[in-house]
Amino acid sequence: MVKNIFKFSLALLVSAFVSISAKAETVITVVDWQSGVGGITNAYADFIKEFEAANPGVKVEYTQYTVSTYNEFLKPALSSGKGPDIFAVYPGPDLDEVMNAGHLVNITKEADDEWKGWLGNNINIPELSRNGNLYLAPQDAFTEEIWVYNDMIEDLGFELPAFGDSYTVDEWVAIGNAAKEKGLDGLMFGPVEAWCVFDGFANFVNQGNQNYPEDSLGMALDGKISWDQPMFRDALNAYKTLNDNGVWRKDSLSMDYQVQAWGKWLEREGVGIYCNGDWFISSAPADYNTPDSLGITMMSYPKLSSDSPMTYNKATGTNLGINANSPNKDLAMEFVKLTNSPNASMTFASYGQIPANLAQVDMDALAASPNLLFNDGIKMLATEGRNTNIYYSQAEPMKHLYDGIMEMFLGVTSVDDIVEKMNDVTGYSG
Amino acid sequence: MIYKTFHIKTLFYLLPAVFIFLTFNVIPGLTSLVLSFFDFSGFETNLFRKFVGIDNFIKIYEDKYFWIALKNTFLFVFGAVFIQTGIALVLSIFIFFGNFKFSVLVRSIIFFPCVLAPVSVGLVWKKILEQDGVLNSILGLDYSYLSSVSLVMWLIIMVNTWQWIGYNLVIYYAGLQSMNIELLEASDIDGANWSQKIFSIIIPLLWPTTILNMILNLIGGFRAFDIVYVLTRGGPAHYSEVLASYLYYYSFSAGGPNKMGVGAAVAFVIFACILTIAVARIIISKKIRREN
Repeated sequence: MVKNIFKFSLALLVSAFVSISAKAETVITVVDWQSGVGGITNAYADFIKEFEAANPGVKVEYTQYTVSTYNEFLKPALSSGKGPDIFAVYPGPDLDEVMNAGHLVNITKEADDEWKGWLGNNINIPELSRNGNLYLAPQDAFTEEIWVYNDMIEDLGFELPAFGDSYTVDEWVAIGNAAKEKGLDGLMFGPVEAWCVFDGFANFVNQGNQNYPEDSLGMALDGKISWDQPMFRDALNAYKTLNDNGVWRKDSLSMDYQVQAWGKWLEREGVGIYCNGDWFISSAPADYNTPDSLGITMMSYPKLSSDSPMTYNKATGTNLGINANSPNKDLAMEFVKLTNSPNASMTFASYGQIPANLAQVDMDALAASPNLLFNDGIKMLATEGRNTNIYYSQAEPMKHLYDGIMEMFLGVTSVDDIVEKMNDVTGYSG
Repeated sequence: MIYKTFHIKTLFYLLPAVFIFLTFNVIPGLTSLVLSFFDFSGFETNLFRKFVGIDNFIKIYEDKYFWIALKNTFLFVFGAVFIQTGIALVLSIFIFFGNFKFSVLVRSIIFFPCVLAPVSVGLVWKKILEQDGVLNSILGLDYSYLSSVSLVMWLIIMVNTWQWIGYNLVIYYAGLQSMNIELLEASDIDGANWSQKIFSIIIPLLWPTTILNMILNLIGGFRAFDIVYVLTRGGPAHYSEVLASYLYYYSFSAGGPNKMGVGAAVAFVIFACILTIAVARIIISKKIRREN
């Protein structure tokens, strides 16, 4: 009996010792919402290996969530004061909230010259900065667009547009109708994720923006100009036309993008996927992106009419903040700096993820990789055309705009009602 | 002296339960109530930084989706309390008195969904009800059930009923087993038919069980979240939102309003609803007892 008690106590002691020594190392926690984005996952695995080798006794724990579940983790973590050392932040209203709560390191202030040099112009990137200071370190860049399977378009009897061009709204209606006859969708759409609705809307607005490059949408969200203008009405009508003509299935209204719409597109239930982007290059179906042939075409959002100017949504995707209250702040900064290095840019590229710090890499060399979809992504990012801002801070008006568009899809509100409501919500006084 | 010892001992034994109750119920509940008077996005470490008075309550009062969520919650509760309990009552009587060969198997099949996680149930039913789902394949239709404003809440109620009816059935079955069977035998001698037995003897005798089932379903109904979230995420366009999912939308939803203070105000409304019903039940029960 005494022997057994001794054995048990010894076992307890050994396990306690192992547990304590396991915890003796410093752990840096990195969290983002890029679940399913293979390029980011693979690149970070390499960064972690490199960082841990350069910093003995330091372990990096990387966790991914989906967009829909990310805030369930981040909010309690940050508000308890025990947030991760490094975490992704959405560069819209969330950035203001997280920054105002004092969680983010001011990168402009604390980065060394080498890091600033690597960031180049990105140190001044407006959507990741507040009051001229950078708070989020950009990781990957993208064009946001529509992807289509080439063979499906051809099967339906349509021609693919020239690179950089896209179909009009009416052409998408025709494609949608032809697809429906074959039991398919024109476009897979995941509007449960609000950005999927807003980003397309922003693109439509910019096509009709007579004052481009003035940010008319930003001004309208601020209540400085009226929503009762053709550029906003046309954007809403474009959505109405696509929806009412069944370019996407009615079921889409309860679908998210990251899991459901994307999953169904991978299963070839739809010809194209709306609101997709280069972040998914590494997760594209392998059979349609081999070194010998590319079976996927990326194109911008639908054009309002054939003579609409080409308008592209270009932005950064994963944007990392460093926890200002982290006990490992210096190490966290070192890790994020590493992800912005020229070597890291090449690592991102090797996994089909377009790096945000493009100035650090040889674009021609990049665009000649064996990953044909990635090469097109690089080319698309360099395509000339109107550039659309997709990150805004006006949470309340954006909520009402989203709700209005979703209700319009259901047929319970009209374009007139949305315009009136938006003028009301933004406080536009005429 | 004996009384005093007993009293202190009782308190001592109660301490763990009181501690757990205070830590996990009372303190978070009160914090949530206080939070409903503050502008809190969920990211701040100082929860009570900006006092906004009753602004959060005014906000939900003016939001039409709150009223939709409230209406849907009561509809869901109605479904759980009356439809679910009613069907469970009918089934339990049928199985108990039916005396058919596979009654144990039937009971097990009806009870089986109760042991499944609501998320799994939601995902399976989503696959059935999707536009390209099992139901449309069988019926040869192309209808979007979950995007129909008029249909979606009833479908959620149906799925919830399907999952939890077995739970009510088991409770009813226990009630039937403990029933004094001599009363039924006496009614047989008096020449009562089955309809008379059911409505004049069985259902009145099962009344306490019915009340228990109704209360359980009522509380569960007000807390409904998982099945709604998995099936529709409160959509399309908030038309299947219930109070708990509306709370989640305001507090955590990606691209949502980021207003946990408003979420706390919604939580208070849920609490007020349950409290009102609980108090009403106690008053009515007392009144009935006094009259009897």
